[in-house]
Amino acid sequence: MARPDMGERKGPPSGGRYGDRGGDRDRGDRGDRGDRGGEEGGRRGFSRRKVCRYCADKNLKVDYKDQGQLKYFVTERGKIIPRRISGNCAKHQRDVATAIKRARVLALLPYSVAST
Amino acid sequence: MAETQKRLVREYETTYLLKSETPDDQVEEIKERLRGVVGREGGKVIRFTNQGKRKTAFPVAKQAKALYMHCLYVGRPGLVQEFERNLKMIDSVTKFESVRVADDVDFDARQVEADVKVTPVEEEPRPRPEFGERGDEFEGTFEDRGEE
Repeated sequence: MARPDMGERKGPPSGGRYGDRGGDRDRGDRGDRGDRGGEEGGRRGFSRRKVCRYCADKNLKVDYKDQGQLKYFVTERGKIIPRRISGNCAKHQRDVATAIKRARVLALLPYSVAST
Repeated sequence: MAETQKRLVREYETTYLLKSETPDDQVEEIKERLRGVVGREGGKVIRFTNQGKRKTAFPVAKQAKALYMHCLYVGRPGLVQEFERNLKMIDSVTKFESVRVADDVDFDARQVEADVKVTPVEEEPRPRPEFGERGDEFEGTFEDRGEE
């Protein structure tokens, strides 16, 4: 009763923008972050927690020669995608960043792509 | 006693790019020259891989394509400097990059392999549906935040 927002949070997600993804909020594995976000922090949507591809598949190695694999972690403009978006763990993000930089030296990946 | 006599070396790999119009016999000549350099410095070449002519991400030596060569070898640390010094002297080599692959490799146990030639994979025609989907998601979120 003292905090009416508590009741609000349990209901169906009211935010229209991320309405289709809101169902994941009920999973309960992010209870520590449940207090913030929600309605007033509308900018930060709750999406599925991404897992590190390299941790999920132990056989997968970060390889600077494998162009197709590294393309996942580079934007169309050639920037390295940050960890908060790619979902990599810290160790593998470091490896990926090093690999991308090596691939750039060998002209496998672009340093930058000019926009039109 | 033979166990204690093991000669431990490091394993390195160097990828170097040649100008795309380099004739095949010159490619072979460079290969043999580098093999000689490695041998002289007390190492040995495990294998050369010709990765074929591939499109580069940006023009290298004013050309859109380059011939990718990969060399795997074992030896002492000073070998890499000598190897790269020789690469710099060859005019048709446009780029190169050396990476240490492994430490403490047994020199005699590492077998020499035959040279390989792989045909380059064409990236563009190959469909990559999963990349497209995930890429869109990445792009949207990243550009929303990254754009000032």
